[in-house]
Amino acid sequence: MKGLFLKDIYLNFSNRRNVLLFLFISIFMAFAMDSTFIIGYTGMLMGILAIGTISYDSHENGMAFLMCLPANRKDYVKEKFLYTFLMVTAGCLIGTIIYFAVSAIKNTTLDPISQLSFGVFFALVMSVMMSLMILIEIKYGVEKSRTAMFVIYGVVFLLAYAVKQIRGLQSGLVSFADILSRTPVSVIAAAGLVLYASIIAVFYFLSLRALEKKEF
Amino acid sequence: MIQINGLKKKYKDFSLDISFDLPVGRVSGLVGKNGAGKSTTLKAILGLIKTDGGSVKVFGKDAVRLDAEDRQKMGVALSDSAFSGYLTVKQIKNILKNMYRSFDEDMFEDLCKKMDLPFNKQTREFSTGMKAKLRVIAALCHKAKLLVMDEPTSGLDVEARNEVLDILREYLAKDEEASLLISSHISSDLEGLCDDIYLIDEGRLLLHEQTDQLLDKYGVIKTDDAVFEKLDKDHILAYKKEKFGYSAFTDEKEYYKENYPDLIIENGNIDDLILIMTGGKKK
Repeated sequence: MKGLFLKDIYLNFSNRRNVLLFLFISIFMAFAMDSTFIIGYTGMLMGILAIGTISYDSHENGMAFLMCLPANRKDYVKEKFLYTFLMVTAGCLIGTIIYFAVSAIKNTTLDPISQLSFGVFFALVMSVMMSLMILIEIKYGVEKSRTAMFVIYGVVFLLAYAVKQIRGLQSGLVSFADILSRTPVSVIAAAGLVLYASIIAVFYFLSLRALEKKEF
Repeated sequence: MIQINGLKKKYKDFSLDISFDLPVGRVSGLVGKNGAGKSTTLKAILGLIKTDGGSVKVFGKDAVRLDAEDRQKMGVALSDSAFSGYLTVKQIKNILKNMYRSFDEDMFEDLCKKMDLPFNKQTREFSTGMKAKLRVIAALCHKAKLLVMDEPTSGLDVEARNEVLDILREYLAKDEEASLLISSHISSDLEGLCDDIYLIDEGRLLLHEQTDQLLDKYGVIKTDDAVFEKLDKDHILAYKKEKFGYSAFTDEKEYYKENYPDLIIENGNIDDLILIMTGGKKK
């Protein structure tokens, strides 16, 4: 798996222009916005870079050769999840550092514990989103995955709209939020982590199944 | 090394049904026209496709169950697939070093230098020939016991083809237990390399013969219509109508030389084998 990691690192960072552009955009965003949005944004950018390696791998039927290397399909999927998680975490970390640095330059009042919590939260949310993207890229391929992502975001939007429109659901959400506010933070955090791990595990197994069904 | 027993694979307008073995230390060539089933057979061996019947065993294990440990012992060069073109040779070397326990870094560097492959250039900027050379080199530098190569000399000029074939011969000479299964449509490549040849056409195995037997005993009879009509056809495998009369492929050229001294009989080669056996009428 070390070889696969190395391949992805080379693919992502051999183009220095992309990395510099990525840093420039992040710093620009941090100056332009007075919020922790930058943390999630850099996490997302790094995650997208990581997922882009699937496109590189698939280009010109490259997957056939990769599947002949001493790394089976399970190793490939495992590596993609780990690499993407590490990239998202690194992105959120870079975002947090940029946020603190820019806040210091702008002389903004900071609440480090709260901001770091945001960083961790964004890393988790982004890694769930990126895990879904891995599944879609592996299952539908690079071209079809764009359409699939569009459809998924459309469905999410429609669901959110439906929740807003249906009064019963709204009041349900309000009472759920009320329960949450009375629940100790440690319980919420533990439940959140279990939920997070479960979602990632489901996406991982679905990705593995999709790759195992594929022919090259 | 490889046992294929009744391998079946069906596509929309093509079906493969084939059986053969590749013993330890054997160098076998798969020949046939484009679309004959060579690449499909190799993909089944590599576990890249699911089969519709029969069994494909590699190292005694089902090909679809080959694990990372088995693949340490395999060297693969595919005609239409390789590492991303955005990687350089130097990066590919580092990746392979971290993938194969027995990766021979010096051998990789020496071969790349010998083949004039630049280390710091992205391989997407390479010519077709340079890419083909790199694919072969990448398959050879980790002491693989089983080499599977699909059209490894495709896109190479004569000089480069000979260089690649020399590397393969050298590798096989060093390790007599290493086996090679190679497909090619360039017959001369296989004649000088393979112990035996499998001819595939429309997904079926048409002929299996030792290469030296093929070159010694097989021949092409070229004759006009009248002589062909009277010819004893017991040892004619296939024939083809030509402008001048007939070309007939025989597995007993000495018989015809002795009994028909006036006949024009050319030595057999793999090109004739493909042309007449797949394009002509079989007896």
